[in-house]
Amino acid sequence: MPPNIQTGFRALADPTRRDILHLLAGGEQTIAGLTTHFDMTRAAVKKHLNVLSDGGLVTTRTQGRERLNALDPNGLEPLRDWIGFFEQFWDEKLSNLKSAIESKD
Amino acid sequence: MTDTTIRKSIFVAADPETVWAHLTDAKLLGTWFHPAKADLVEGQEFTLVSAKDGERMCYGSVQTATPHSHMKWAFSVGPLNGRMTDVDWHLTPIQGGTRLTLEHHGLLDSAEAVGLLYALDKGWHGFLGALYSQVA
Repeated sequence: MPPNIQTGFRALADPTRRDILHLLAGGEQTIAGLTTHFDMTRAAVKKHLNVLSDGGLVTTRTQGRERLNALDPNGLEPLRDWIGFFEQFWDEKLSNLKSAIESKD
Repeated sequence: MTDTTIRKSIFVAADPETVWAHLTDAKLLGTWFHPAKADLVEGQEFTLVSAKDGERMCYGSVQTATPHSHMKWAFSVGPLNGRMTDVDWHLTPIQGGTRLTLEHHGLLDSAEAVGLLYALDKGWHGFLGALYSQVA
């Protein structure tokens, strides 16, 4: 698996991080804003955000004195392609199998 | 709930015995997939190699084999980086041939992850839509 897919899956493997993504799907948020939704410290939320950022799922930008976290839809692309790769893989093999058998007679 | 199992079905104009042979015979596997180092046998590991240079392409083991109807593989291929997945082959005799069904399980660690993927996808588009309508 390419590393970006592995880190992407790792990022998605945790329920808190999935919740964070759901919140960010509604719009950009600061760490403080996100923390109000969870029973955990700001530092713990920040740690989750770092994993999401490593997985390419979240980007951060600075606006004035605030740091805003946003969902990065480009990070989802390689994860989606993963299933697509195998769909194509088997389509090709099965089509080969059919013609290998049927062209014999 | 998004299903992460890949399911494919094809109709082959040949009896289940013939189709089965193409799934288990080392040489016949080479006519559509990659040749195997040895015939596939229940409880044994298998390796499919490149016909060109003998390099290992796919590998795994035959978990169960019920001749002419069902075979289960533990299966890995290059891009999986050594991670084992499950492949089920089902053969059903039907008029004029065989229906062959492939099921590939375990491509993702968490089905929830993919469910989320699609949910987020929609959520994001919704968000963009709202943004555009604000800007317009």
